Amino acid sequence: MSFEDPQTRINRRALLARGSVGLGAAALASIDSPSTHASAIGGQPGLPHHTPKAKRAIYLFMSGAPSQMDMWDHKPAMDDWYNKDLPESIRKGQRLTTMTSDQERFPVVPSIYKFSPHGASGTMASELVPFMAKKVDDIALVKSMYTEAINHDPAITYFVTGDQLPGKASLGSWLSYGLGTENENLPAFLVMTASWSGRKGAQAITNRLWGSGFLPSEYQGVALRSSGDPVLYLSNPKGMASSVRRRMLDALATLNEQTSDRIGDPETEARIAQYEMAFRMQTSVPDLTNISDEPQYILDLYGPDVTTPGTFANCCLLSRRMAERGVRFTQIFHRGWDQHNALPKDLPNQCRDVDQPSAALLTDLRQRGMLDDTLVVWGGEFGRTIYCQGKLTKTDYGRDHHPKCFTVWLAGAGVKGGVVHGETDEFSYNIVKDPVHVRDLNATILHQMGIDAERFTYSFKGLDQRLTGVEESRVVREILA
Amino acid sequence: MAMIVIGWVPVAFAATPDFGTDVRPLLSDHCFACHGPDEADRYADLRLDTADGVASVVEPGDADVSELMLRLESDDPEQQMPPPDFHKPLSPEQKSVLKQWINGGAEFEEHWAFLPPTVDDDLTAAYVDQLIDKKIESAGLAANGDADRRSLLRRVCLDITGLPPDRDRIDAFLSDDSPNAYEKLVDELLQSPSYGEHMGRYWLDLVRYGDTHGLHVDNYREMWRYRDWVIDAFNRNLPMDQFIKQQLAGDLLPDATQDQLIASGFNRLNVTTNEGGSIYQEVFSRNVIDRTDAFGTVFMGLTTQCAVCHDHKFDPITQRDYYSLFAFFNSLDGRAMDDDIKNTPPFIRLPNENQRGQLNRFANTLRDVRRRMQGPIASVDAGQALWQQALLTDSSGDQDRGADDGRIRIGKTYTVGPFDVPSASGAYGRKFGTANDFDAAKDIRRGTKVYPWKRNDDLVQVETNTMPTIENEPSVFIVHQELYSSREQTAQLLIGADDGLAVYLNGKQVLLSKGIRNHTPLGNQVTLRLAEGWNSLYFKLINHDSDSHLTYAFRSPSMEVPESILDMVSCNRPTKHQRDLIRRYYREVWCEHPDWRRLKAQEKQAVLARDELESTLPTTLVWRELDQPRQAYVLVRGQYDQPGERVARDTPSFLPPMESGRPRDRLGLANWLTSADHPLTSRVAVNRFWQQIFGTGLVKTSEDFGGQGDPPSHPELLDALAVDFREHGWDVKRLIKSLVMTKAYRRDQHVTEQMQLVDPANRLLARGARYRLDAEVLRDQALAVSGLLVNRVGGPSVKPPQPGGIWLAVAQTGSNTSAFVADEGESVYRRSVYTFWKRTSAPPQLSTFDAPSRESCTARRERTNTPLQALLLMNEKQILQASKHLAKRTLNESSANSVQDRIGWMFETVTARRPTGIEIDSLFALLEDLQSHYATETSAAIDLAGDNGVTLAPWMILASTMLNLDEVIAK
Repeated sequence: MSFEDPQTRINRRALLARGSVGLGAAALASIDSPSTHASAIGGQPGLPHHTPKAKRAIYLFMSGAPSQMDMWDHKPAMDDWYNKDLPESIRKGQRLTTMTSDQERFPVVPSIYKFSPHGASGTMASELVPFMAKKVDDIALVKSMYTEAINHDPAITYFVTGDQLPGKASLGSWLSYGLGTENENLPAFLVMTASWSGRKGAQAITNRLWGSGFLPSEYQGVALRSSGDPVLYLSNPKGMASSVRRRMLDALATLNEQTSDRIGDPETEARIAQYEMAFRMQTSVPDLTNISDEPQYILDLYGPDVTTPGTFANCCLLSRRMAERGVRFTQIFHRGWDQHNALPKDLPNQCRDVDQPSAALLTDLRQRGMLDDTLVVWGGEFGRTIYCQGKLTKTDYGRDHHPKCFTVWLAGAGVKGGVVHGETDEFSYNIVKDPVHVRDLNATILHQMGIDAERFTYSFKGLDQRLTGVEESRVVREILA
Repeated sequence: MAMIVIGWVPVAFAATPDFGTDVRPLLSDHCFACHGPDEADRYADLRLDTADGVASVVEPGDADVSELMLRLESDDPEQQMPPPDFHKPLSPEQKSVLKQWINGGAEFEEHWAFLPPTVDDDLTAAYVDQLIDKKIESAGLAANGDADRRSLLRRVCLDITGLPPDRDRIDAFLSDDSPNAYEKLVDELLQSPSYGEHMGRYWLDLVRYGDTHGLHVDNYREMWRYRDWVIDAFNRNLPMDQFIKQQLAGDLLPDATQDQLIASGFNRLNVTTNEGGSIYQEVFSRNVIDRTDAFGTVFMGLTTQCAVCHDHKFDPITQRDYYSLFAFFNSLDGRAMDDDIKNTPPFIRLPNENQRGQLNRFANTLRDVRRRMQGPIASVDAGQALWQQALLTDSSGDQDRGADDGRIRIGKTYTVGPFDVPSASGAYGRKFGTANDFDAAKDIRRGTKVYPWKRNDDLVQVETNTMPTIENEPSVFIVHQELYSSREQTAQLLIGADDGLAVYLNGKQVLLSKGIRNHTPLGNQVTLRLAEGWNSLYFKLINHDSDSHLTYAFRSPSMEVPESILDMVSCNRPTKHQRDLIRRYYREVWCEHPDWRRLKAQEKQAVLARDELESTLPTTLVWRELDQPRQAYVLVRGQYDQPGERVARDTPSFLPPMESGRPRDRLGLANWLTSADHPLTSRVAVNRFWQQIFGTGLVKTSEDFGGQGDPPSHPELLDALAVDFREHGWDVKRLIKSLVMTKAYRRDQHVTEQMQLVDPANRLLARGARYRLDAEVLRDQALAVSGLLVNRVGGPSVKPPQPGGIWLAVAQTGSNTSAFVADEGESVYRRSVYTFWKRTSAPPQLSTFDAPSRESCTARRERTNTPLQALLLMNEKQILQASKHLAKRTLNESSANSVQDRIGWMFETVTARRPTGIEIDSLFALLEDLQSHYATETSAAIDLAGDNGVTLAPWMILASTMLNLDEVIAK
């Protein structure tokens, strides 16, 4: 016998079974229009609070903490300070990690990388980021980020969930909860963990970075995998054709309808709908991850790694495909940025991983007219010290964690290009102008997505929980058009 | 009559709103942030959480002149409350509630949960039903009748044991027509070991049990004996007050048993870290805060964490109260950083009886050998006399020989330290001065601190030297010994320590021994290749925990005898201690007599045997209290480095005081919790059991009984249950039985339109509870009905298969939980409560169905309904395996003749009921389609179901279909 074409056949009763059950609620639009980002599905009433500039966001997270003064925060005066002690007037007794707090000396190490001005804005960028240097007029560089956390696990948890301790909801899950999805056939929040080629060992990340914390778990990020099933349990077992699956799901729906008739629990109808959604994901996810339809000039744009699954370049291209398909929030975690030692050996490799693909993503989004409503954010969990950790030589040095200032950039969706916001002192140690806290950055991201961070709350354990916590946050309006 | 929705169900007000249920939640949510318990952040000196405060702005009976109402209804942004920028406006309905309440007399009550529960009547199932039925009736609903026996059977089996009924149980129950058949079934289920596994699982979520540390490197942490203790405690029906006491304070109980020590591990379940760079005090205070909050959530349903930085905004917990509680949990005799090891001290080893016997034998042997080693041995002592004689003759100045006589001279000893370090394991890679180019004049600088080398003549060879440490923190101590050798030669260093030890000779590491251990005096032998001239020997002692001891000696025919020993030998009347020391020195360093060597060999053998056995024993983290508790302080704004006022151990002042005269420790705290006048403990406990059985607690926010939590749906019922539970010996099985014996529990699940309209969440229980099963129950059910389940209680955590790369995607390089390797054999078919739980990457089969990460306390899980769950049940390896096995079982075991009957057998095995005709027809049609498909697609059939695939594949898909039924996914 032959089964009907699974692509066109959708269970009739299931079509009627629109419930409000989060990811893929009412997930029953026709399969042939996967990028229907006309209107949101799910989401909370009253949201967005205002007309959003960004319909979606892509967050390039550099886990481990990139060295700001070797990439973006140009400190020419440091050339005269080579191997001189960091003055106490700069350090001001600030606490250090216990990896360097017992160093006898804190010798300044200027960056060995050449900086030059770029673009109409004349923004300084180092030779480590030649591709992004050409994009400076498209991005707002924030040099005055700061945080309180000085170790990775609490710091990255703070950045992504607004709290240093586990248990809170991640940025993406907040967005998924608040704004719903624009594509009923894909999760609203997708996460990729990219391979890296700098430092061999890398700091841990954790599922809580895309977890939903106190929010219902349907809002948690779905990790897209670079080998095996791109989404867990997506593929039918070997020997089970899609047509067989279709037939099985039809029988399942028929039986579940019996249950629904007998008991009348709306959850049964919702479940029928979720099985239909699951079936459609079996098509929509491979369609998303299969890049064979990308023309060569696009592949060239992202660079040579793009066809290798799991590379940052590959993830960037996929993030564009997600943006096209209306995925609300995509986050790529790229590890290996923890240059305590051997910075001159490892940092260039890290930069090579991300520089061309990040620039390509901006170019690609722009040429599709999507940069106007896609917010792109790049950055890590803290910065690095101007002083050397470990042995200092002319060609080798390392840098410890530094929470008091570091650099991130934002682009697209109403973010001004060619802007440099905030200033640090000549040691890139303290902020001297326009400090931006972690929660300010998160408030700004929410703001561009149409959300007022103060009013975006979820009640848990007696508190109105916010991504930005209990303290006040400030939207960085200076970088917004 | 107003009809509005507040809290959980529509409430109809004939007269006056109830303060506790209707008014207080509004004031709490909208006003307390500025007019509540937090003194530091109280505006206009007005508080609305006290009777006096409310009285100051409310005129009972006259809303129109009450300041409260005037402010609520004002349009003037200056006057309006809540202020517009607070973003929490009251709706017109909410304002009207307040108005009616004022007009009705504005009666004020304390928060219900902080008053002791009271009861009108004895608790019986009938009384429970009476209270439930009253509410159903007043909501205008008609309750369903009893569920059919098969549905009820499946429901109660799942609720009590977490497993569906097997075929024998189905047959037995259906054929039992005695009037108390159901009660007998319940009693039987309560006796099943599966009961403890199921009940324990909820507790493990609550207390955040996991198999890894939880933060950063997230290495393996051994605690599974605690998990087994919990399961066992439920199975032997340990009364809840004992259950609480043993976990909070098992170590403080008189003559604490091994089991009670295991239970005290409850206090060690917080996530921990060993991240390089961490600041010790910061990690320390986070650990204590985590434990304090767990105490608040688990036992009292309080959100204590809100008072870490300032007074609680909604509940009367001051910041001072918070740190007074904190003070109970700050005195662990152990270190804050976990060292990335599985058994961060304090821990206990858990030998079985046989192993305990072996250990005792080794200890006896060792004691015996050592006694002989210390006593007189005629043959050896004769040698010693000769040696001493020679020494006395020699010492007439010969010690001061020329530089080229081949001798090794012991130079000066310098020490420096102790140095504080954040973690002991991190200290191995840290430098303290230099092991090379020693210069006693060169101080060691660490940051701003200066540590000079000190000449140290206190260290004595062969003596057990107690080394300096820093109290309650890991530390490092350095010894530098100069050795002069007139030529290149080797010598033996004998060295033993109970701490981490690294030895360097002339800058080169010659010994590295990590971690704590039993101190075997002089237990290591290291060959030193001495250079001609001055040699630099450097010992780095890393103190992990407790005291630090060091023994060392040099053994070489060329080695000069140390001055101290020479003095003793030449002394006329050496003391006993001196004689012992001379003897020990002679024996350890000089003696080569076979009688002595034999004893040494016996000692070594016993030590090895003991250490080898100990290394295979399971361990579990426990609590051990410091002899002197640490002083606690209010931490200003919650900052670890800003201690403020000193605080003593105490309970929050709004709750009944601790009995005076009792010790202020965790045991006192446990007694306080379970005392008759404590308003929270039993309420919080019974509410969670209610939630387990009925799906939602009587207080929906089972983690929060404070002012911001939901008020109870049935306050009288909650109180009756709480009082009854406490008065009947905190008997959990009795409580569970009383719940499943109610009519409310046994009702049919059918949802009428009216029910859906009035009570969609089924808080009134007019119908039988129906909701999606938990992740573990779903997996266990599939294994059980297919016959794959291995039902063995207890043991180390197991790793059923999961898709590749999930751990690797997040894990620290070098973490011992970065590469997931699935178990093989029967381990993979154990119940899910035994599944290995990596806290930074929880098992996907479970987390997809809302299992928490176990990083923080979870009192209730969400129940979502997602396509990822559908995919899992469609395609997950073990579910498919179960489908295949169920298919085989059906073909082999079912004695049915017709295909339809076989389908019926399979259906009944999965659902506990017989399929209807329509269901049989649907399944039969599916089977036929599949059979004709696989008849031609033979290779696909074989891919799917193996050699017998053409026959088996259609049945396997049929089984998979049944495991995916909504009816099977739900209870």
